[in-house]
Amino acid sequence: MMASTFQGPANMLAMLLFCLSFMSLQWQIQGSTYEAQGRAGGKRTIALLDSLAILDTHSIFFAGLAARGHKLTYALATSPRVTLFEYGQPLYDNMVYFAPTTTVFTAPGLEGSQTLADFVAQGGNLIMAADVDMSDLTREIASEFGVDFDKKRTVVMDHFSHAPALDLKGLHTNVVSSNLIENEKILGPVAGRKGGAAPVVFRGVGHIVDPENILAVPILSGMSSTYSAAPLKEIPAPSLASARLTNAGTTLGLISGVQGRNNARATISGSLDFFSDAYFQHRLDTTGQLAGNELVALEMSKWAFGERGILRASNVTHHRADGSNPEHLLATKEKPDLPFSLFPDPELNRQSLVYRIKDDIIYSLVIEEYDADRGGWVPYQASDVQLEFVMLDPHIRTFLECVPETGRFWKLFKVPDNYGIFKFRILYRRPGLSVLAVNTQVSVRPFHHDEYERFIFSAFPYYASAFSMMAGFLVFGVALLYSKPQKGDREGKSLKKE
Amino acid sequence: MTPAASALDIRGVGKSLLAEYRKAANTQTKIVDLFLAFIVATGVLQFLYCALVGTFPFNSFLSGFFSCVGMFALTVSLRLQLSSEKNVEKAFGEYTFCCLLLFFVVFNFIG
Repeated sequence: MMASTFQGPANMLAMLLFCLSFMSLQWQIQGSTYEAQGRAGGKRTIALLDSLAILDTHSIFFAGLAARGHKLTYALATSPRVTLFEYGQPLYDNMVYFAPTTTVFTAPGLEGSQTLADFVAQGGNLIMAADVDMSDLTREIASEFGVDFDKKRTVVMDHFSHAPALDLKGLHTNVVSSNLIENEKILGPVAGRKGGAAPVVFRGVGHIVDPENILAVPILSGMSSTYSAAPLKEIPAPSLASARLTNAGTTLGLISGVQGRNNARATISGSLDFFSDAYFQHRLDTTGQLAGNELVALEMSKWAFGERGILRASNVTHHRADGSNPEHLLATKEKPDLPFSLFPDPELNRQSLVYRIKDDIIYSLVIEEYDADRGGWVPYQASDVQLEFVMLDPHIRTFLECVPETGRFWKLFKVPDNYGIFKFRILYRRPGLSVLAVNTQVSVRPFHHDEYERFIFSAFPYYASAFSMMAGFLVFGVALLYSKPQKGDREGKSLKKE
Repeated sequence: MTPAASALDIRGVGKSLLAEYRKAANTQTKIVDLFLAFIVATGVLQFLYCALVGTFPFNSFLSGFFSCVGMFALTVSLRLQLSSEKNVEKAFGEYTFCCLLLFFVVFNFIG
């Protein structure tokens, strides 16, 4: 009876451990076959709105998303029935947050600004637009992503580059800017000042991103004459030149993109009107052409919703240059005579792969890029992908060679003259692309005793010397032992006793 | 003293030293000294070669050079034993044993 009661929990424990090990095995298999960072091209999209009127005023933007296959769900941000998560899983891949004036969420699962941060932390993408009269909640959400909007009642203005036709009050708040980021992963064909799009019109609030924030990129910035201030409020003369007017010029942020460490993306615009039909259809006064808003907004949303610039790695292989595979550190040994143990072998990775110092080895992997415009996963091309061979420090850091047709990146290199546990490490971080981090561990051993080079040509004199010593010893021995004492030797003494 | 005179003196000293050596040393000692000269020459040649070519097979150089150094030391010991009237067979036997040991080590290390 006692035995059986004790056996029950033990069995359960064994089952649990077995399940755990099985799960970790599964994980390893997944990790070894295909390592993707970031979620590519999710189409479940929710739009949280201030009012349903935004569906009319911003219909072109939503139609553009729907045309790319997004299954859009519209909801009022204040609705008590909005759910973003079910059983801890996000219900949507992307979110359009066009609710700048919403002050509080009423749905049970939504708890202030933290909810949207959680949504992105779980891998969701976010496009968010603020407005001149945005609520504190909107500011808090933006600051969760490191985007600090300018003070209340400030607006971005520009007296040289603006759109008067949209300007009802003559405050020059409809800023026209062509200062778009030169990054084709983010903006596609419209990247850069001389890109395929006309200047865009922007009416809203500027923001600042910490320049040391490596996760954020400015997508749209102000022109050199753009500044952020409260209109109809006189700026004291000394302040114009001094610290009061900090946010101005080409560093003034209008739209910024933040890519989290989980590669989810949050794109934050200071203007809701930027996405509106009226601005999409606005013709610029200077040239008469259509403003670039529609092109830029839709291209930007491709990046923001993971339809472009997501990398994945697969087929990570490494072997010696002659094609042979590395050996295992220790062969796995069956132990049928020993009882089943819950405790594994001591800390020793028997399956660890071992190379020898000074081996020539080839490392290769396939990197693919997700680009929905080009039909999904396409081979990635770059000349700046670096491989590091690391034991605490990188002993080797080298560029990988790229085969453009297949996206295969490879390098032949010589293992350094240091033995220990090494990692092949690829950490590829570029603006507009998801971060690619691939680590593969191998061991490096020193030469075996019989692997040193022998009969080296330049060592022949030394061999000759050693042999001449042996021969000399023989000749000397014979000569010494069989020499006859001479007459002149002192006292006629002989070494040989006769 | 003029330089010529001093050179003459040194040459005279060398000559008398050689003559004295020829007269005083017995045949065995001469053979030993000849072998010692051979060992020194081999060692010096190796050293020059190493300085010229580089130290690449350093273990080979070390074992080649040390075979000379070791043989020199052992032969000098033999010479000392011979000059102090001991059992020659015993002295030479010990010398042989040490030499074999030296060769064993040298050929293990030479690569």
